[in-house]
Amino acid sequence: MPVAAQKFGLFANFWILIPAILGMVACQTEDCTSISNNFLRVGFFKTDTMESGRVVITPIDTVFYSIMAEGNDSVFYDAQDVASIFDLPVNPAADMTSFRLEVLDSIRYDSLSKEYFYYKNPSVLTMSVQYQRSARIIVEDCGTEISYSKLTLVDSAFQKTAVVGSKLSRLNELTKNLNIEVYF
Amino acid sequence: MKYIFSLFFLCSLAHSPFAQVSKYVPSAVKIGADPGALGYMVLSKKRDFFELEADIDIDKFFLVANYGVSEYRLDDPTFSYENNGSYLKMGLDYNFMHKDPKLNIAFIGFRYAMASFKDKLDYNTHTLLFSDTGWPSAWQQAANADARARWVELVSGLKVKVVNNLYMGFTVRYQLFMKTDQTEGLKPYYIPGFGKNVKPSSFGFNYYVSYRIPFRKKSIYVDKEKEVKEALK
Repeated sequence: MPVAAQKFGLFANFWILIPAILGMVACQTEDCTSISNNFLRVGFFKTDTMESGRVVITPIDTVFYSIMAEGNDSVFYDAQDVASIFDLPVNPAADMTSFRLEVLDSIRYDSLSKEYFYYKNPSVLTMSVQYQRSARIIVEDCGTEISYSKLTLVDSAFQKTAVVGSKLSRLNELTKNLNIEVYF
Repeated sequence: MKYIFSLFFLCSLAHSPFAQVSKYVPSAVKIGADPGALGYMVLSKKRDFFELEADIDIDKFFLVANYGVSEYRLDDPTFSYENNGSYLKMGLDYNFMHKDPKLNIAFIGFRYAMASFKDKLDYNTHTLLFSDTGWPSAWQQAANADARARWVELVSGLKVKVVNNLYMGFTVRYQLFMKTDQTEGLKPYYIPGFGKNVKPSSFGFNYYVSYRIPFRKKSIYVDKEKEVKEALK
C-alpha cells in the first residue's frame, strides 16, 4: 500500500470516531441556571452629621402601612414587615414600574382580641423606576428569562434617593448589593 | 457579478502559458452542498437550512467559502421563537494529502464567519422562573430586526473521491463565538451557521457532496527519491 494511502487510512480511522464524540458532547445536560430576577432592592438609611462634620450613614428599620405597585393588586409588604431592605418586584411586562408606599400612621393593640390594628396615614409616597428588559431563552427545556438593566429613577417622593446598582439580579441578595438607597 | 469575473480570471490564468510554471495557479474548483439539509427538512420541525460550499484548489491549499440560509423555530406552551437568516464563511484549508494521486483530501483550516438574521421571541411573563409576585400574566414580544454575528472556526475533515470528480466528505468545526450586534432587547438563541448561542464555543458538523471542476491537470509533488528507494527494496 502506498505511504500516502496508509497515512490517509490512519487519518480516516481517527475521523470516524469524531461524529461519535460530537454526539456525546451534544447529549450533555444543558445548564438551566438563571441569575435574573425582577426584584428591585431598596435600602433605607438615616444620615447623621456629627459635631466634627462627618456624615454617618446607618441602615434604618422602616415600616409602611403597605407597599404596592400600579397595575398590581398584591401587597408586597404590610405594617408587620419591619426591615431596612425591601425587595420590590418590577412589572415584567413594562419598562417602567411605579410603587405606592402607604405611610403607617399608628398602631393600636386590642387587649381583648389580643390583636394589633394598623392605621394608615392619608399620605402616599411614590417611587417610579425605568429599566431596560432583555429576554432570552435559557435553554429549550428551561424556558425564558428576562434580565433588567440600565435602571433609572423617574420620580421619588423621598427627599434623597440614589440609584446605586443598575442591574436587577438574584446575586444582589447574596452580595448584599442594593439598587436604590433612600436617605431620611 | 465580481465573483464570476474573479472565477473567469482564475480560469483564464490556468489556461495561460504561465499556468505551467506556477504551482499556485488554481487547478480546480469544487462546488458542493450539505445533504444533511434534506434530513433536517424531513425529520426536524425545528430547523431548515441549505448550505453551499465552494473551494478553489491552489496547490496544498484550498480557498473556501460557505454560504447558507437557515430557519429555526421553537414552540413551547410558555414561549415561541423564530429565527431566519443567512451566513457566509470564508477561509483557507491546508491539505495533508496533497501528494495523493487520487486527489483525496484530509484538511485542517480556519473560517471567518458572518451571519445576518432576524429573530423573534414571544414569551409569557408568568413563566416558572418568576416567583409569584402578583403581576398579571402577559404575552410579550422581543425581536431583533437586523441582527448580526461574527465568529471564527477551526475546521478539519475529509473529502474522499467517490467516482470521477464526485467527492463525499465531512467537516468538523470548532466554533469560537466573537460578537453579536444589534441585539439589545433579545439575546439570540440561535445564530444561522453557528447553532445555539448558549456557550461561547461549540462544535459543528457538516456533510458535503461536491463536484470537482478541473481547469488543468494538477501536479502531484511526489518524493521521487523516496519512491525509487522503496521500489528497490
